[in-house]
Amino acid sequence: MHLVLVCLLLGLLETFGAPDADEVKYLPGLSKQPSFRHYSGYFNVADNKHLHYWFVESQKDPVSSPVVLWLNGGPGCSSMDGLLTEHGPFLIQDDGATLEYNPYAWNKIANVLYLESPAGVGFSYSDDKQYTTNDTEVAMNNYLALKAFFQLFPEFSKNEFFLTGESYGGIYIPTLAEIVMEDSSINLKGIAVGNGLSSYELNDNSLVYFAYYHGLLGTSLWNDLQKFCCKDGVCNFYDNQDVNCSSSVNTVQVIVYQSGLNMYNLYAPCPGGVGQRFGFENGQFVIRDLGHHFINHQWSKAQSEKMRGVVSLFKSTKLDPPCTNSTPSTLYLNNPLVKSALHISPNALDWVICSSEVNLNYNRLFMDVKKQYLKLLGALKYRVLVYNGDVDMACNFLGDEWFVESLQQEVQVQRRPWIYFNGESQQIGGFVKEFTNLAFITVKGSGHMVPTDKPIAAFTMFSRFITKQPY
Amino acid sequence: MDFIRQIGILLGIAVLSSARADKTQIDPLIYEEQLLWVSGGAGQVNAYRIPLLTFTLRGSLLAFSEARKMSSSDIGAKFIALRRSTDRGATWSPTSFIVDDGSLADGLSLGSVVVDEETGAVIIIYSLCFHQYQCSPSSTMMVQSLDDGFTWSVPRNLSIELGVKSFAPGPGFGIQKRYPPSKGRLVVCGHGTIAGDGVFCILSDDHGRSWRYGAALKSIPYNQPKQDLDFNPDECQPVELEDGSIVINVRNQNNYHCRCRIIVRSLDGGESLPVEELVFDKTLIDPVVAAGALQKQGVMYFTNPSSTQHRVNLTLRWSFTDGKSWEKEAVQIWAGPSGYSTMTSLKGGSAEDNKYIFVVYEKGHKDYWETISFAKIHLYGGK
Repeated sequence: MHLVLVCLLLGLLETFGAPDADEVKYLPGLSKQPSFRHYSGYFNVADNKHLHYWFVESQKDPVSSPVVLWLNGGPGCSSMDGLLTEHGPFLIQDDGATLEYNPYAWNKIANVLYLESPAGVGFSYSDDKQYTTNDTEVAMNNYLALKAFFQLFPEFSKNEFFLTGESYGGIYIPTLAEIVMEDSSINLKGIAVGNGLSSYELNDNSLVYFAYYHGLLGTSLWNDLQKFCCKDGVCNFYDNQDVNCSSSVNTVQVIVYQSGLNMYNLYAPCPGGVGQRFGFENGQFVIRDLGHHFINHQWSKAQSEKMRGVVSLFKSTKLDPPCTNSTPSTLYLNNPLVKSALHISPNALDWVICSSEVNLNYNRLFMDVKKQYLKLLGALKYRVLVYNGDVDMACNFLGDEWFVESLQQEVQVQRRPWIYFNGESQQIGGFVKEFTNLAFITVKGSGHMVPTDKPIAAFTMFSRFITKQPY
Repeated sequence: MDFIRQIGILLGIAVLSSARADKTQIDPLIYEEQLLWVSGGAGQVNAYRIPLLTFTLRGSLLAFSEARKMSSSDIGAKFIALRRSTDRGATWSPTSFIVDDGSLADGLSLGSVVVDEETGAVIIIYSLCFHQYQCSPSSTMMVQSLDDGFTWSVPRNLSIELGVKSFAPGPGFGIQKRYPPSKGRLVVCGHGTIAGDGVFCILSDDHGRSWRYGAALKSIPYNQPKQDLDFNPDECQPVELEDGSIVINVRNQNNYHCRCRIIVRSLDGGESLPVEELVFDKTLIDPVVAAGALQKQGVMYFTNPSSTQHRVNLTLRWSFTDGKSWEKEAVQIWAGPSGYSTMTSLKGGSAEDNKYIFVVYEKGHKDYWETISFAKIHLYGGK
């Protein structure tokens, strides 16, 4: 009888407490340990996959704060980048050893779950070391990871819950939301996508306009593009079969992505300087291309084939997003003391910002996510935020603006500037257009990683989104 | 020669008579009603309150309201929300936020809208920091549209001309004098702070380029804290009669003399509000609220929640005697919770324009600030 009771009590303890084993008790690099709790460990999903998470509780009343999932993109890139360089509670410094507290951390007002997904990304791994995957499998495994999270942290299961992400998260988040919305045990309130890939076609088509009107192309190329790719005012740069058009688009692609411009922020320098899209470093083949753009052109397919040919010749290939300095994060996360503090499995691979294996073997099943957005909006109960730094060229604002317009939702508030307080004065953060349960926001002067480039504006926007306040 | 003069006189009579409503047939009917704003709706705004409504020279209707960002209280950051109808209120544009006060602790307060029928300008006068909560001093502000409400100027601070006395215009509309004295003058009336309360009018004789203070009807005791039953005229709505006088229908903040409206008249184009011209209208019982008044074709209309105690029972009354007496019949627009209201009508002179008046009012089931509703009222029973 007593034994039964003890077992029950133990069971209760296990069920209602956060996982003590995963709690990060001491994190190297901080001059002072945080006042909030944080946890790092693994969610075991689909028999053999182990997805690494880092969960930072809210700095303001975790019990009543919402839970927010954050996913970086790729496909194949790590959400540790979001934590350590975008909106995490502490940000990595250039020395690759020091962390500084971030006054605009999203966990100031939310419990934020950073998940490394799919298996093969960052410290996440699979027992069978098979890292070929696709959009639907990723969505399902992310959902299973969420279920594991709520099992591990049942005290958060009633909290408001939001799915957020960036870049290829534009695919991950709505496809995951489509599954989560069917699960009534999860209190999903909405999704937010930053500089997301929402439609390959709209992203490609808008990019050409973006590039021309930001002074990158010149009139002669523009005239050729107009002549060969457009008819009656409608342009197709995406999958145009005209050889002359395709060749002009190739020139655009070279200018935007290969000339040395920082595609993630047109007005920022390129860390490391003007470089090559492909290269060799320390005997490794290095790719600086995540493969989202102009995938339907012959030259693009040919180049991709050629690259895969080269990849097969090397023992290892490195995928570095262009103009991105991932060295500090890489140094920090591979520090044995840090790995131990974060309970990283000995089976995990060395941490890299993006996994070339995941990226190159990834099957992109969705060419747009219109269906998923319409399903979410049709439920009439989820808030959707699409936000874009307006000087990013990876997933430019215009493409996402077109995407949001293509959903043809009822306009609630006409496009207008939105204002935030930058600590000194009221400033225009960008522009916002609001539809029923859907807002499209630009963040003025920001690149792809909005919280990195415009931390105060990003935090203000995030805060208004999750607390349902006007932008 | 004589013949032509006679024709002229005949025409004149015809014009005058067509401008008068056929009083015997006045039989208001709520013809259409729709919600323009729902608190918590468009733009994740906590509450929409303080509706304004105006005609434009091009025959559009413009509805404005305070979009209170974070709470339903008077103090706090707000937008000025606008919706526009170009088909006599049948359909409305999506909301525009034409002014955004950012994150001010004591933000903007509406306000009065006035149309200059000589220039076509639509002018909004509002205040900033009216309550002087975590800010000082307050400012009287103006924005205007020269294109039928489509685009709006940047806000202009009128404090240089008017000083920094707290002035809350309206809420409702201002008027442009159509008859002498001071034909063409813009007259915008409002009230002061609770201590320094009273009705005050600001005047512009140059189409809103410059403004000065005109008439004042000060509270007693002035600039001292009030107690129950003190004389404390507050939010107000002016209308011009055909004799050129301005009648102002005023909220009786502390229920002086009655739980009813204060009526005061200016005979000099809004320069003064003599006590001799002040009456209490015991027919217009009032729960202390901003009410609507409108003069159209010789008939005066009045809307308020008709109750001495509660903001319920929004009622439309009309008068054939410029408000000296009111017709016995009244039309109930909404039995439930209802708050501020205001009216307008189109001035095109067409049969359509003569048939209708338009009301916007705060309407709810549990609380009156739940929604802002637009009602199109057929003055002739829908016939």
